Amino acid sequence: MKPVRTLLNTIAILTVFLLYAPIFLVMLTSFFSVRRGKIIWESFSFNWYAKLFSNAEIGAAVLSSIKVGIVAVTATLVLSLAMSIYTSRARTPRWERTTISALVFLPFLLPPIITGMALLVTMKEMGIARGVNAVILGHVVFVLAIGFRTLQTRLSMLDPALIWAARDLGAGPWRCFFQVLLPQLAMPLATSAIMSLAISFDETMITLFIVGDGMTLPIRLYGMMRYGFTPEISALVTLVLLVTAILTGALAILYRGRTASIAE
Amino acid sequence: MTAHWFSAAIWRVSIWAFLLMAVLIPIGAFLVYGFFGVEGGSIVYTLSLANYIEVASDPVYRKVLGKTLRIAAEVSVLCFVTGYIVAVFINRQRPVLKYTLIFAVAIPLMMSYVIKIYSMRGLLGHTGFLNQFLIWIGLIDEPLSVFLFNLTAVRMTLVFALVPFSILTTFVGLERIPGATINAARDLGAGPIRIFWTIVLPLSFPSAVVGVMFTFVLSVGDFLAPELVGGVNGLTYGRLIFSQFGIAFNWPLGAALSLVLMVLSFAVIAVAGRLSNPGWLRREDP
Amino acid sequence: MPKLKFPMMAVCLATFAIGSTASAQEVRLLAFEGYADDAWRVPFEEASGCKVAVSYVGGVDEMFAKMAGSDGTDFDLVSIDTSLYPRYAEAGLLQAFDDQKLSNLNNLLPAFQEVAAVQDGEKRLGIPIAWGSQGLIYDADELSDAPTSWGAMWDPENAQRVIALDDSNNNIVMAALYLGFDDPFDLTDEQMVQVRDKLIDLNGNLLSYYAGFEDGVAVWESGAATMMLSMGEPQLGQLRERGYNAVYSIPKEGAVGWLDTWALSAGAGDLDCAHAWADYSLRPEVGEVLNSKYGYGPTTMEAEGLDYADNLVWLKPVEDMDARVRLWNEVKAATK
Repeated sequence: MKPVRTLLNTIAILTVFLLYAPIFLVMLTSFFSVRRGKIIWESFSFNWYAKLFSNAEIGAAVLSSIKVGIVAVTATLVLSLAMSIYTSRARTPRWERTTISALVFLPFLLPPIITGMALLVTMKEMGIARGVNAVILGHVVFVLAIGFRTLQTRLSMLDPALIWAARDLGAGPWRCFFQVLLPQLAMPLATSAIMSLAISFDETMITLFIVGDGMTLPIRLYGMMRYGFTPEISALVTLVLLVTAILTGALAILYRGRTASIAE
Repeated sequence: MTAHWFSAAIWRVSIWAFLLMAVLIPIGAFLVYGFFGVEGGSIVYTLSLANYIEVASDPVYRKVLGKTLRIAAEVSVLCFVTGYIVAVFINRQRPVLKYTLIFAVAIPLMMSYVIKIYSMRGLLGHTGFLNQFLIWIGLIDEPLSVFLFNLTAVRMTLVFALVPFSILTTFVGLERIPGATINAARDLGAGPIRIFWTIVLPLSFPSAVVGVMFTFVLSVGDFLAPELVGGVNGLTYGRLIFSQFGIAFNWPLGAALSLVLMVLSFAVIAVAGRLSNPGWLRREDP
Repeated sequence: MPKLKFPMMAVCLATFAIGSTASAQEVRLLAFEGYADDAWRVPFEEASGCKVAVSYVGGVDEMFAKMAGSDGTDFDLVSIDTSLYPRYAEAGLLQAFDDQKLSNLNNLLPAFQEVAAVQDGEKRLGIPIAWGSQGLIYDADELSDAPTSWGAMWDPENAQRVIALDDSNNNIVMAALYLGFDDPFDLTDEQMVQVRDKLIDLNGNLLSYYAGFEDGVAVWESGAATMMLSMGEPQLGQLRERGYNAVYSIPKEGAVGWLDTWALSAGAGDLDCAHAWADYSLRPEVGEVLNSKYGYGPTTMEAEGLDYADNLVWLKPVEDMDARVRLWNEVKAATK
């Protein structure tokens, strides 16, 4: 048993480490110039960070991506919570469950370019302006499947006795929801939020078509692909990851506090 | 769960209104294009199956579709296995380390995909760090070109980009297995292998399968990784679809190609959904 | 925790409700990187009072998709090359410029004054802004003989060290030039088959395709390539910057010359601002930056080093764009 376990642990640690390999490389190129694969150590500078901060265009793109991400993820969580609970109720007819699931999965299963073009053409016909708000809608439609499926799976694994017990003890529907159901769904909600945010923050193909004359970060990067990226982008990626790390660190501490209090 | 948590009618109407307006009408209407045709640079709105016949009969589409599905399946299986190993490892740590690690796994997801692929090139390329490392430890004398611009590079890139999704979803399943259940089994004399097969795997399998679903869908439609690290083999089905919407201006064919991909993905999801409902795994259910 | 939820929902709904507010004077560009550099975008905004919103795209395909999907209403000006005019015109996405509103037209070099491809009779559909070629770049340190023909790309000696731009039309034209066909933009079915077979042959010799200027340079570096079907002059500078002894050459069969232009969208909103921007692009200082910073050939001045315009085969509208895309997909699918 021992060697197997050691092997599996090694694989796990190595995988986590390798996930960070591309990040380290990008961080390096934000401080040093790399020439034919050799890092020139003397070239250390913060120049690219300074350039980044004076680049209003990139700054605007990042801000609009953050806005899109936050709003889209919030809306996605609310919608997928409502939908997964609705479809998990025993009283919901079977055909309705199947159809709702199918419709939620439809945009997730289609190549994003189809969803993007479909939304663009529909919005044009209906006279809805393309732009950042359209992008939010597009992202919600796309990532809904993630929250829906993750929550649905967890709900199907929940012990119905938990709810009955709460009801028997006289808890109203809302109390039941907030005090019994929601804590059970905390981890699936958190992971859905993380995954949806990650996808939204990097979504290109739907966004491309409905962003109008607006701009998000991935669209800006996609445009830069043609001519080439400057190390400013390395600096940007480094900063984005740093901020993410700090935020998730804070979340982790919060979450630990919460689970501890539940366990008591 | 028979509780009347909410006034069902309002929920029902809002859920359906959203799905109809934002999903069914736009996408459904667009998929109808698959039955139209193109003549002389404009779309002809007469219904026909010509596009589907073309998709079925042209060996190019079949070949590329087959290759794309195969890569996506391989990537999903790799993600499933690796994701499971990592999630189990993380779940066994003490709470502080556990939640730190699970968030640490999620952070790379926030790195732009395009930049990540470019970075993979910097790692795997001729002048890349892998080659330099191998030369440094003396395994090779000259840098090798075999790490990049082939399908193995595509698989690796996709696995590293997508494995956090499987780790996270699997973890959701593992995390809810009560420690008491495992302790009880151990007290009753069950060995680690038996505990894994009868408790841990059945209870976490549904969540792990959800991860497979996500990685499959996200890799099957992707064309950036294959194009940027796949060399001359980099043509995938997603690019074939994309090319119909550009200057080729053949939306109907593009819509038909998409519908085929969607139906096949739905089939994969349906199978995965069946698997994730673990009736067949729960032999010892009350 | 429960209390947080409702404000969050309110915020989310409110954000949905806020419509996009279009400013009074604005020009919306759909363009490639480099065609709206801050060097002249900022002075233009100050001088004209028109706000500039730029949407950058990575390639001609998504550019057309975005225009066609919105019937051109999302953009005022779009940067397209001369070969695409029939496609855009057929789809009803273009309208003519008003020469009266263009005071800098005389700045154009004589060769670019009357480009047939962008004229519709008397009407002017496009304003040339930059040109370049797609020559053969090779590493003089690695190749003993300087290649003079596109045939070098097929030479087994260079196997797995050749890279090419991933673009249907440019590869087809290059192969047609190499095969010696009279008009690489109007191929017969028979010639198409020959081109296809030739390109499938080439596939076996290629290390990879690449997607953009610097992408080509990155593939060159990470794959140790020695030769490429180039996307344009900027790549030469980028390679030399990285220490390669790269040489730019126009093979004896000729090479593709491309000419990018501003075209006026049929759905353009503020026509005055759109004209003002196109006109501003013809100022000498714009040509100067396009040349010095990006390596493009300007249309308003002779640029140093770009002296082979006469040896180029200028991109023209092709017989059947759809057929060419199909052929290209077939070529790329032909590998194992």
